[in-house]
Amino acid sequence: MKSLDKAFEVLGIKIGNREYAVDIGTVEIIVETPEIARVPNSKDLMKGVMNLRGRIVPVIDTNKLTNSSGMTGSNVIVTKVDDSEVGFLVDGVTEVMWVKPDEFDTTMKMGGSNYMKGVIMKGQRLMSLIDLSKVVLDEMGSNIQEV
Amino acid sequence: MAMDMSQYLGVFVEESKENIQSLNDSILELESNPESKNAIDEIFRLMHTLKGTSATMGFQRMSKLSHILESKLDDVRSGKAKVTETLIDELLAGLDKINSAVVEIEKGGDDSLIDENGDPISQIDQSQNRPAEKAVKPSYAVPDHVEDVAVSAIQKGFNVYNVSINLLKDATMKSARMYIVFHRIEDDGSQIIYSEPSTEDIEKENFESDVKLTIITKKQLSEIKKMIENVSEIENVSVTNFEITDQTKGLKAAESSGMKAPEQKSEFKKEESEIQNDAEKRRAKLAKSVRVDVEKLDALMNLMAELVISRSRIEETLKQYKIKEMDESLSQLSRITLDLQSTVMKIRMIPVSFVFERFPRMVRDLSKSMNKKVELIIEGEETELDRTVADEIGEPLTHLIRNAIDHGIEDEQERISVGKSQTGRITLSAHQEGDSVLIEISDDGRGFDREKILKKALEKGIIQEYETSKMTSEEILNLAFLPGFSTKDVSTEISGRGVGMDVVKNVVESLNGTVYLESFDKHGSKTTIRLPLTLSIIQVLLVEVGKQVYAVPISAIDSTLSMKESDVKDLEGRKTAIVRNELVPLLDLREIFDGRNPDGRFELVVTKYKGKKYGLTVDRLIRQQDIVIKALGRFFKDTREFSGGAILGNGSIALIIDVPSIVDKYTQNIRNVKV
Repeated sequence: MKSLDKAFEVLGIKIGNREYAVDIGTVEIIVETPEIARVPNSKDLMKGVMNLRGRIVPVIDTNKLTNSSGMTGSNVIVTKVDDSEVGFLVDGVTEVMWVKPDEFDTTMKMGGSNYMKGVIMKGQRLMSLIDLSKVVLDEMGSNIQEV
Repeated sequence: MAMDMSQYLGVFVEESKENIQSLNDSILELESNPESKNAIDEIFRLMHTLKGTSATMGFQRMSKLSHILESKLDDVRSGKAKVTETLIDELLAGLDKINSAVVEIEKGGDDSLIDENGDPISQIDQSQNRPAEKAVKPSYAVPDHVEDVAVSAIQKGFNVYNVSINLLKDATMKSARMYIVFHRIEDDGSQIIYSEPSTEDIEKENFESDVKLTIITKKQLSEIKKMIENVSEIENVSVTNFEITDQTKGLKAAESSGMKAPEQKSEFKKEESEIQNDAEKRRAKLAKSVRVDVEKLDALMNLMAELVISRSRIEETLKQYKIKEMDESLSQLSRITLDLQSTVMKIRMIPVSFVFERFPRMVRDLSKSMNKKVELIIEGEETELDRTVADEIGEPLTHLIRNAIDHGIEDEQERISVGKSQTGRITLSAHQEGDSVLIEISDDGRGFDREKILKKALEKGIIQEYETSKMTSEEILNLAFLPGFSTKDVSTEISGRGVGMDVVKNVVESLNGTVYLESFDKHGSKTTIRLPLTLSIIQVLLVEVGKQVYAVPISAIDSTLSMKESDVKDLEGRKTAIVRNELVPLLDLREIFDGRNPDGRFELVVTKYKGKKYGLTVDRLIRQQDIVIKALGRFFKDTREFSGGAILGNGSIALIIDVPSIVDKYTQNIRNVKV
């Protein structure tokens, strides 16, 4: 977890018509969405797999995390957690910004999802901070337990 | 050492180093956790491997020492003794000894560092003394085989000197100066039997200013000194008598030094040149074989895939502009990438003869030492295998062949009395079958005694009495693959304790292969190892379902045919088709993957699984292709329908259908109805 007495850097992303933020440290690369192969009978959350420079990388449908609507999925942000590359389908990125401690509120969690760390307030702009590594670890973890 | 083994020396050294490293880890683990059965089994297994491979390569001392170390664990393994500090010390000391021997072997030497009896304790003393000796008179420490030559030369009445030459620090053309020195010595009928640095390094001017030589000559010490001193740019020359470090050898030399025979000069010449040649050739072999990390090959393959994709992109983009001048270069680019692709794929494949060629010698030596007549027949050695598979499979095959000679083939007397020819026969064959390579080892010996296996398994507590009634004869046979099993009462150095069989099973399974044992009572046995042709490339049929491409491994396909929806029969609620008078249950992939219920024409891919046929319905057949399998990752662990994915030429991904899983998942009910 980010220490709250320090400023931290986030990447603003768009999912549907809303803006969210993710910890810039978890983002490895942002690509234009390539062809995604759907994997039949996999979890709803999984959009499928894509080809990232010769590697097969799973892609998570962020729509399912946020319950947003009107998603086009123009970009994939690829994270690297525990040596596993995982892509998140988004509708584009806005900007990289510094968040000061007083701009971040962990008591407010919009969407009620476990993966929202808190809310970032930049003047009139409000965005939830999504914990991408938690998504990745939880999803891989649950699979391991089931086996 | 036999020359014919030298080509495996590189592999042997690499393998041994890996095994020694693992042994170190396991022994240390055992030290911190003396109860660990895993560690004991692992040490046992690794020692056994070292024993086998070193014996095969002709390093008897190393083999003996491994055997002794292995035996030390026997009581611990059976629970009769506990792990003590002394035991751990002994194991580690012995292992260090083996390690030094391997280092010597790598340099072109042999395992003579190890005590002839393989006693690890006396070696600790020796290994402590040796470096000390070297420290006292570092200039004259020479390898054992050089010392042997020197001793025999002294016996034959020659003088052996150590010559230490210091060139001027700022000497120009150092190698040329040394060349002159070498020539002066040799022109005179003297012989240089050892040089440090090596002649090779000297030629390449790969040395500082000191050179040490050991020479055999008829001349006096002072003559030699004078001869060398005359060469320019030499600062200092010292010539001393060769000192024999080994007392027993020294005694022998002293006893016989009186005898002098002039014609013996040519004799020692031959001996020492043989030794030098031997070592040089071994070194050359080491340099020629490069063991490439498979990960690097995988990385190369990935880059290859990217290149192919980029090429098709360029092609597509350029098509829009219709530039005639580009056509030629573009088609050339295509050709080159295709060639490159197939070369990269082929790099991983090597003929199985790479593994097989070591066995004739092994069989010869073993049959001799056991006083049995055995003939080895090798078939299909041109069959190609993935490099990784080939590297790993040598060890299990060694065990199986040893077992066949030791336990399978009877002695001459017994063979004659049961009416068999007196020479036993072992057949080692390989052939390709679809995506698999089958390796079979069969012998015409006494076969496996099921009663004996059963009795042993009960004794060892591997199975319980009540289980025996339910076991099939095949199941009983395959008990031999379980850890800690052996049917031979006295364990011999060659094979025994049943370590071999469980090694075989472990290795084969780690390569995604299977091993299967058959026995024809009193008429021999056959072990069949089925291995994937390669670990990462398979041939598939690309098919289209909906808008997506899937890959069906060719090895799972029986046939394909076009059908109409009206050809599909409903059998108790299950889609079924009649293919060549056979009822084939259908798995409608259009429904399973897409949830569609289409009509019209479709293609049927008939697959086979456990001797039964199942039809997969798809929209379209695309083509046959070689693909590189990539894992889908942990996110899809529950989706067993697919064994992986592959990146196609256009950059899109095809999921590889795992026929057994998909059949198991979607036909449960069909089979229940039938039963």
